[in-house]
Amino acid sequence: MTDENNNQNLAIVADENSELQRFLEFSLGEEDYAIPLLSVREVISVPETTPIPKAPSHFLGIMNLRGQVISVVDMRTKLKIKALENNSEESVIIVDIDGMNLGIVVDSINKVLAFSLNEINDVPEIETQVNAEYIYGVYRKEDSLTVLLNVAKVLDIADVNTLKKKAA
Amino acid sequence: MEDFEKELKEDFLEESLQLLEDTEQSFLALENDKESSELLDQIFRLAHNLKGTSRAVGFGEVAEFTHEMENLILKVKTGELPVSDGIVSLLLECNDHITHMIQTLKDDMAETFESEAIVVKIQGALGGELNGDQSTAAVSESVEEVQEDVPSEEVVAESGAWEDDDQEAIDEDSLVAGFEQEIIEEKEVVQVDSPEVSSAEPEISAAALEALRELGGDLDESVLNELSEGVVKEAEVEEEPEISAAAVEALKELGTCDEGLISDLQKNTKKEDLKFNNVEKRNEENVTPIPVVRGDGSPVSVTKAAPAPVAKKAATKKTGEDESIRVSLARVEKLNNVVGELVILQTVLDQQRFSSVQDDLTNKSISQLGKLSKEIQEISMSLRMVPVKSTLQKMSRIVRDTSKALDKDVKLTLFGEETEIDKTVLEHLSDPLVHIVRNAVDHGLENTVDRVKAGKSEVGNVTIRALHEGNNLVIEISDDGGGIPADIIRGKAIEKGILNPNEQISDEEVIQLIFHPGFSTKDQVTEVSGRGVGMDVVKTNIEKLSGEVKVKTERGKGSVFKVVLPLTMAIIDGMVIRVGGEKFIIPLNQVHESLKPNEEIVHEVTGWGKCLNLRGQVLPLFNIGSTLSVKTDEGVETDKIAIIIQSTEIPFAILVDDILHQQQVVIKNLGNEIKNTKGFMGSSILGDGKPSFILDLNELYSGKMKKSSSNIKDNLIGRVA
Repeated sequence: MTDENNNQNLAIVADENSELQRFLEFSLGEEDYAIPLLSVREVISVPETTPIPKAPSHFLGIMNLRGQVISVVDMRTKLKIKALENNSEESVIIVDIDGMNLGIVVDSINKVLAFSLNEINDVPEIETQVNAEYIYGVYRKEDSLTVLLNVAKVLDIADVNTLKKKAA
Repeated sequence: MEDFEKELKEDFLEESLQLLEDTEQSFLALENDKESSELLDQIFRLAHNLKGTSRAVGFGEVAEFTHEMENLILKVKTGELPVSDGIVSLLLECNDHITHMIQTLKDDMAETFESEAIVVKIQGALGGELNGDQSTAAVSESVEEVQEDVPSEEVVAESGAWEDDDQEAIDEDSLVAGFEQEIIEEKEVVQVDSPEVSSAEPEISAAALEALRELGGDLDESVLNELSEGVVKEAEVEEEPEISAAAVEALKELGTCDEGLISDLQKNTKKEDLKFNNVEKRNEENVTPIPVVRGDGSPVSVTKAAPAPVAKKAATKKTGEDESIRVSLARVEKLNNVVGELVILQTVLDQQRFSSVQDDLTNKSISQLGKLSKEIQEISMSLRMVPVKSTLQKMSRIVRDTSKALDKDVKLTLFGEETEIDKTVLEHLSDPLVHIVRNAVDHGLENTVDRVKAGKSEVGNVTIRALHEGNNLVIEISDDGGGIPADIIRGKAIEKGILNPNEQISDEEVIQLIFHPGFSTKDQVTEVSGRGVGMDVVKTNIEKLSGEVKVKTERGKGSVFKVVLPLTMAIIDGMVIRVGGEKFIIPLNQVHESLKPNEEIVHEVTGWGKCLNLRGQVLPLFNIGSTLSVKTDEGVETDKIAIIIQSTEIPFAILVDDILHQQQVVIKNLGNEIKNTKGFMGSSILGDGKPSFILDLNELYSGKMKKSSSNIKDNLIGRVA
């Protein structure tokens, strides 16, 4: 588990001219997002969860992943994206952020992208409804657009802190 | 620093702490049995061992200091210095100093230390003795002398010369013994840390050495000494003889040794011309070749034939012994997680068995699997268990120091040192035990005069007993002192404002007041006690471990403190409750009772909330659903169930929709993102495979209690009275 630490930073720290990086692309609502593949532990179907009392609304609950208790976060609620209706492709990506395991609910898993880092464009703020600091950049291919999401930022310490405060 | 070197150092630090615990025990034992040469041998071995390994891994300062200490022990051992209380105290002080060094090094390996003060003390002790029975003036003179010198130079000079010193002074027996010990120690290091190094060979040789040593018991001492002496002279560094000495013993045992053979062996030994500063490496090489030296190195046919069976025999003996490996707790936890899941899956399968499985063989296999998985779970749980021995033994030091400080004669007896408990529980057990034991010696036991007057033996007795009672570990600390005087406690409690003078409480309840924060019967704050924090700490610490502490006392006969702890913090007895559609777990030890409230006992006080009037006691009543913002079933209080919670402050009641069942639950840690949420102890996976939160109700409601507890308490007293 811990071997995969720090991987969420991969996209930023890696050398500009390095080889192809791989990302896992998924959909939130109608938009496409991607995270570094190496920060992904596994992908599962949406499990049964137990709600966490008094937690922010995007905390869906806790789940049992083969004996380990993991929090599941609904990325769509957090990013204020409307979920698809009648969606049978809903999945949970288990990510490893600095050794902390989290489940992220997404509308669908699309594909694995491979591109070199210099193909990443800067953040065009108008193109998404998402807070700019949640994003590393944008990858554009022909007419499709994929937002590279910084999961650590989205669910950052700020959130952990609000939880602490709320409880106190 | 290279990883390998760092690992070595870390291992050394771990091991040396163990060693230091052993030496401390030996010192304490020595104090009681001042004539025991066996103990001295053992101490010397341990100190020597420590010196050798610390130098090997590059902790020069520790090595230098242990060398000083070794010198002192040597003098004691050879009888030049009589074992006195002063010497033992000094040795213990040295031990503390080394422990301090090791502890500090554990945090920062580059740390340096000031050992001068204590080295001066050692020099003083040594100097005093070297001048025989001369006056104290001579002693102090020698102390001054040392102080005038730059002490660090003194140490360096000393360390430069130590090899000669040692070889002259150490008698061969202990030397050989020490080396064997070292080899055995090293062998463990090799096995654990360097899987690539063949562990089989060192094992045989170390084991062989052991066997040889046993067999060597009935050897002709003088011949052996002569041989070993020769070896020592030949050897370039002090550890060198470990091969030769052992080999010589082997030969001797076979009764076939002659001069030529020995010189052959010595040549072999010398071929291993290895550098002093890398014992680790040397031992890997040295340990391994022993059979080679014996088998191929010596031209004599008898030697060739004979050692093999000896080694074999020893090896088989060795496998019967209890060997151990060190595994990180994280790994054990991971195993426990997976095994827990296995058991849950098995339960699901087991339930399916009755409804959908017709096949006999499948049925049988499932039930077999059930037994197996239960067994696996038990084993994996037991991996966390360690004997309480090390912690109990620490108490003997506490008893010694406390009794010395108070000038009381105290005998400590330990029972059940092998009793096992979860490692994490044990780590937190030490502090409370220290307080209780110290109290037993200070407050519990009378002074010698009073003891004699009361017709008791002069020596006070403190007994620590560890045992299992159901799913709990019980530690009883009893003394045969004067017991706790309830009237004095009552007086003090009133004086300190802890107890209302009008309150009528039984003596037993009065005794419990010693656990109250700030309570102390001592008017004078001494080094040993009187600050009034002791028993409070005991209580809070033990409650943190979900345990409890009880005290029983009889005037004139003594007191018993009984600490009851859960065997493990990984499993607790829980009560599964339902709030609306959600299940929560309440630790059973927080639950006092549960009842269905009727209209007569539920009251509402404006501005105060709901409360429960239960048998004359008024308890605040909280609705857990609204506290946790969980939707509850419809209905009023009388439709629900009230659970009375034992609290550190005052008891209170919570309303839940239903109590489902009680079961043992495995506590799972929550992720960082919700770990700090107040009121959750963790989570657990219930039989349906879904995780549930384990509530810490005391924590959950502690804020509310603080706000209202003072007026509740006042009201409580007013109403009840």
